[in-house]
Amino acid sequence: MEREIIKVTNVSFGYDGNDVLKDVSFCAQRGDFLCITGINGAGKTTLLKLLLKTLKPSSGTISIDYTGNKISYVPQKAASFNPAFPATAAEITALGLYPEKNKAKIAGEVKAALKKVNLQGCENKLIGKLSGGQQQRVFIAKALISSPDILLLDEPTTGIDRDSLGDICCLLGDINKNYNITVLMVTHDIASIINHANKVLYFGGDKVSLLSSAQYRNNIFHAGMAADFTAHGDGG
Amino acid sequence: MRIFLYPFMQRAIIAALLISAALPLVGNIVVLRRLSPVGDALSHGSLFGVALGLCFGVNPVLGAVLATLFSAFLLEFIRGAFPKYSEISTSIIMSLGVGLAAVLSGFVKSRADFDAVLFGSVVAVSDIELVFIFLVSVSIALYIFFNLNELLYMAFDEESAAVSGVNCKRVNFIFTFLLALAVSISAKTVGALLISTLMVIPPACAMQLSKSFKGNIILSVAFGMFFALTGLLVSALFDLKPGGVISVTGVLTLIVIILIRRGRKI
Repeated sequence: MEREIIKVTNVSFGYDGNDVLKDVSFCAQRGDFLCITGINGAGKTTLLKLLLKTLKPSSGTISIDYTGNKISYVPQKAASFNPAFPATAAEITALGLYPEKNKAKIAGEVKAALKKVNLQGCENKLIGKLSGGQQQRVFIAKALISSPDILLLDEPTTGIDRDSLGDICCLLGDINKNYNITVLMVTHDIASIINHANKVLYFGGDKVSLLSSAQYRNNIFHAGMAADFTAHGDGG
Repeated sequence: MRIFLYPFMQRAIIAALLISAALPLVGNIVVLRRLSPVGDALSHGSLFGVALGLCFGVNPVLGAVLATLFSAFLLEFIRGAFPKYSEISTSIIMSLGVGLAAVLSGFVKSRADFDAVLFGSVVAVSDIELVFIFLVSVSIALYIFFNLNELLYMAFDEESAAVSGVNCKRVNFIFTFLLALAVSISAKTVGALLISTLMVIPPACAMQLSKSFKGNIILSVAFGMFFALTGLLVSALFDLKPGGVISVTGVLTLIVIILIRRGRKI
C-alpha cells in the first residue's frame, strides 16, 4: 500500500467564532484522486486553503509529506479571472515556475506543460481569446509546470460548456494516472468526474466522511438521485 | 518652432517624457489590479501637500511627496477598517485631500501657483524638480523591470501568487510607495486633477491592441509619450494648457481606437 502523502487529523477551523470545519480527519495516499464534494458552505474551499497553509487550523494537525513533494493549486476561476487580462497562455503558464528566471528553461517548460494539456501551438494566444475550456487547461498547465506531486483544484469545471467538461475531466484523470500526481478536487459536479476518482470526501451536514468512489456511488449519489426522482415524481 | 530651443521648453520636454513613461508603467499594474480610483485618490491627496508647500514657502513637489505618501498609507489603513467596501477609502482620501487643500488655499499668496498645480504647468519645471523627476522615473522603471513576474502574478491572481511564494505584502508596500512618488512628481507637471490621464488611458489604449503582457507595458509607455509630446506641441502652438491638451489627446485616441476596433468587428 502507498504511504500517506496527506494526513488531516481532527482539524477544526472557524471564521469570527463560527465553525466552518469541525473535527475533520482523512488521509490521502500517493496517486489518489480524491473528490471533495457536499453541501454549499460546508468548508470545502476552506479545507484546500488549510492544506495550502494560507489558513491555519484552530485545532488539529495537517501533515503533508514534503520530502521532495510540491503542491500546486488551481483556484476557482470565476473568483479571480478577468477575460480581458492582457497576457498570453505562455505568460500565464510561466507564472507556475516562479521564481525561475532562466528564459530558455522557462520557454521549454511552458511548451511541455501546454503540450500536457493538449494546447500546443497556443503559446502566443491571449488568454481572453481562448474558450472557457482552453482557459481552464492553461490554468492546469500553470499548476503542472512545476512538476507537483499534489494538485489541488477548486471547482475547475465551473462555467465550462458540456463538451469541454468531459475533456477537462479526462485530462485530470490522465494527469493523475500518467504522472502519478495526487489530485484533490473540490467539485459540485461529481457525476462528471466520479469515474476518474478513487475516493470521495463527502461533506454532508455536520459530518465529513471519506468513502471509496464505489461507496459514494452506491450510498450517496444513487440515493440522492432516487430522492430527486421521488421529489420530482411527487411534484408531477 | 523656435520655442523648443528655449531651456525651459527643453526641460519641459524631458520632464514630460520621463513622467509619461513612469505613469503608464505604474498605471498598467494599477489598471490590471482594478485600483484605478487609487491613483485619483492619491492625486487629490497630493493637493494638500502642494497647498502646504505654497503656504510655507517649501517646494510644492516636496510637499506633494510627503502628502501623497501620507495619503497612500492612510488609504491602506482605512481600507483595513472596511475590507469589503474598499472604495470607501478612496472617497475619504479624495475628500480629505481636497478639503485640506481648500482650507489652505485661502492662505496661498499666489493664486496662479495653485491653479498651475491643479491643471499642470510642465513648462515651469525647475532644474531641481527635473532631477527629482528623473530619479523617481528611473527608480520606477528599474523596480518594474526587476519585479515584472511578481507584479504580473499579483495582478493576475494575488492568492496564487502568495501560495507560490511571492512576498505580496512587501511588493504591495514598495509598489504603493512608488505609486505615491509617481503621483507626487506628476502633480505639478501634468496637473493633480489630470494624473489619471497618463496613468489609466495609456494602459487602456494598449489593452485594446496588445498581444501580450510585456507588449501591453511597452505599448502603454509609447502611448503615454505620444500623448505628452502631442500635448506639449499643440499647447505650444496654440498657447493652451499642456496638461489639458495631453488629457484630451489621450481620451480622443482611446475613442478612435475603440471605434476602429468595433468597425473591424462589424
